[in-house]
Amino acid sequence: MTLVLMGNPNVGKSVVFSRLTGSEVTSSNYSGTTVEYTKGKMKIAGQTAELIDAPGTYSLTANSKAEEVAVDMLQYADVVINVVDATNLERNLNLTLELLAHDIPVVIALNMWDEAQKRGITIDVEKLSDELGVPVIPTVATKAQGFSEILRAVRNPSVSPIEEMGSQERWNHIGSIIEKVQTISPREPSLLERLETLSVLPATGLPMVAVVLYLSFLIIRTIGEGAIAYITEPFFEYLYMPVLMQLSNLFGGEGIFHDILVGQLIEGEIDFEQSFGLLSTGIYIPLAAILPYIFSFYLVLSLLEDIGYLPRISVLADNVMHRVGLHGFSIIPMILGLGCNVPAALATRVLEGRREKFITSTLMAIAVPCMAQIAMVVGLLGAFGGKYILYVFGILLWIWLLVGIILDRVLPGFSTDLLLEIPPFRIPSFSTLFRKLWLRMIGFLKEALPFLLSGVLLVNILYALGIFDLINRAAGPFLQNAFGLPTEALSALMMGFLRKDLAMGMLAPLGMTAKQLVTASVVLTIYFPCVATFMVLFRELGALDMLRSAGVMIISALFVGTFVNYTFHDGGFTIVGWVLAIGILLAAWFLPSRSERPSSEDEGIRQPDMQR
Amino acid sequence: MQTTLNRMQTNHIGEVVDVRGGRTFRSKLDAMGIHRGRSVYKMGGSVWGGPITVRLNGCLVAVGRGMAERILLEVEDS
Repeated sequence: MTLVLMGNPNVGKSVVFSRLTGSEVTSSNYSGTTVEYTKGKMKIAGQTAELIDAPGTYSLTANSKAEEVAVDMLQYADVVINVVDATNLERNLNLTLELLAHDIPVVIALNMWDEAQKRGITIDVEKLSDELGVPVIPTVATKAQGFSEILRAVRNPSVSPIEEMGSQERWNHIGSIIEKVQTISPREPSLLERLETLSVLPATGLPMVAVVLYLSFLIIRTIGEGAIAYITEPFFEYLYMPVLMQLSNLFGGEGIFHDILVGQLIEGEIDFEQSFGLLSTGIYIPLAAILPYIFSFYLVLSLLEDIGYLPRISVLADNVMHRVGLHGFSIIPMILGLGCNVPAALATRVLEGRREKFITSTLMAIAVPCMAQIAMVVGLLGAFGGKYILYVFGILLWIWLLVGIILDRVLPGFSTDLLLEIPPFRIPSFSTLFRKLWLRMIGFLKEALPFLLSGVLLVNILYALGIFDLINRAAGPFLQNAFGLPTEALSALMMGFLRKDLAMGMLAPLGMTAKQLVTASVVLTIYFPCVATFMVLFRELGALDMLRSAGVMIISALFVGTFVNYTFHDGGFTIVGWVLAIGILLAAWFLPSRSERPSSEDEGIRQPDMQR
Repeated sequence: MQTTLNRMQTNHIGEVVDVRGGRTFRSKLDAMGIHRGRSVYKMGGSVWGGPITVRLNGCLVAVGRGMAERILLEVEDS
C-alpha cells in the first residue's frame, strides 16, 4: 500500500511524516527532475506501507516543478493524507477540494489544532467531515496527537462525492463551508503574532535580520570551532594518527603509493593539513575540518527554517536582489554560501529560471567566502587591524553588486516577481529537526567526499608531473606585475581550488604586507570556487553555463586584483580609487539593458519550495 | 473607487475585483487565495519598491510590484 502526504507548504507536513514513519527514511530526486522528496515505511495493521512526502503545493494546477512532482505522485497513491493547517482553513481547503474531486480515498489531518484554539479559531470537525465526505482528524503533529486516529481512518478510507468545479465556484463553495463550520472569536493579537508582522516591515524587520544573522554566525562558529577542538581534532590526532603512522612505516615512509595514500611526511610526521595523501588530508579535511561546520551551519539553518524565518529574509531582500537581476529567494543561497559554498550551490536548485540560476551561482561563487575562509581572513588580517578585514568584505560586496548589475543588464530575460507566503512563527519539533539535519549531513558527505578525494589525488598527480612548477614559472611574473604579489603566492592560489582556507594558511608564512594580503584574500575568493563547489555547480548549471560562469569569475579576479594593486595605498584606497570604484558601479547601472519586462500575459512567477 | 494593489493606500482594505494576466498568472494567485471577491489588507512599510505584503484570511503573502500592478481592487473612498 502506498500513502501520499499532500498539503500546502508550511502546514507541518514533514512533522506529520516523521511521526508516521520509522527510521527507514530516504531522500532522493524524483525521476527526471531535481525535485527532492522523502520516502519512508510505516506499519498499518501489521502490514508495511510506504509513505511518500510530496512537495508542498497550493493547488493541483501545477505551477512549478515541485508542484508538478506533487501532482504526479498522486497516481501512486492508494490513500492520500491531506495535511491541512487549521489556522488557515479557508486557503487550505482549495487544495482539499481539488483533491477530493479525484477518485482517490482521502483522509484529512487537521493539523496545528492547538495553535488554532490559541488563536480563537473553533472548527466543527464533524460538520466539516460531513461537508467533505471524508474523515477529518484534528492533529497536533509536534505533540504526536491524533495519529492513532489517522491510522484507523487510513484502514477504512472513503472517496468523497465532491465533483470537479471551476475556481470561482470552488471558492464560493469553500466560503459556504467555512461559514458553517468555523467561528473566530476576536481577541488581541499575541506577542508572537505582533512579531510576525513586525518582522516583515522594513523599519523593524531589517534590524531584526541583522541581529538574527549576527547571532546565527556566532552560534555556528562557536559550535563549529568547539566540535573541531574537542571532538574531531583529538580523534584524528590521538586515534587515527597512530594507525596511519603504522601504514606509513609499512610503506617505508616514502614511494609513490605512500605519497598518494599517506602523503609527504613533514619532518618525519604526518601533517593532516599539508601531507596531501588520500588517507591523511583527503579524509581529514572533509571529516574533521568541514563536517563540524556543516553540522552547526545546518543546525542553525534548519532551526531558522522551521521557525518560519527564512521567507521573511527573502521578502526583505527582494528589493536589493532585483537590482542584480534576481528576486528575494536568491538570498538563501548567498547566506548558505557564507557557511559552505557546496550547500549553497545545491540550493540554487529551487530557482527555476536558467538566468536566475546562472546569476545566483556566479555571484555566490565569486563574492561569498565560506566560513572556513572567513575565519582565516580574520585571523591573518586581524593582526594588521580590523579595517583591512572590512576592506576585504567591502571589496567583495562591491564586486558582487558590480557583476550582478552587469549580468542583469547583459543577459536576456527578466527577473521574476516574488510571490511568497510568509508563514506564522512556529515552535520547531526537535525530532523532525534532527532527522532533517541527519539527512542533510549524509547528503553533504555523499556530494563532497568523492570530489575532495579526487581533488587530492589530482593535486598529487599534477605535483608529481611537475605541472605546478611549470605554471609557477609561467604565471609568476604576471602575478607580480598585475597583483603585486610574490611569486610564491601562486601555489597558495592554486591550492585554493582545493580548499580556500588552506590556501589562506599557505599565505601566512610568506611575510606579505597588509595590502598584499587584502589583494590575495579577494583574488582567492573570486577567481574560482573550490573543487567540491565546482563539481556541484557543474552538475547544476551544465557544462556551457559553468564555462561561462568560470569566465566571469576569472575576469572578475583579474580585474579586482589589478584594481586593488593600483589604487590601494597606505592602508586605504586613494581618492582616485574611490572615484573609480563608484564611477564603475554607476556606469554599469546605466548600461543599456537587454533584459525586458515580460510583455506576455503569462508572467513567470516563482514559488520556491521553502521546505528544502 | 478602483485602484491597483500598487497604488492602494497602506493599512487599508480592498476587495479584489480583477486579476489582469494570463491563465498561469491568475491560477498562481488564485491558489494563494488572491481571487475575485477576496478582501485583502495592505500592510505598511515597503518603501523602496520592495514587495507588498498583504494579509488575507489570516495569512501574510508578499507580492512583487510587477504583480501588484495587475491586481485590481475596489476600495472605499476616504
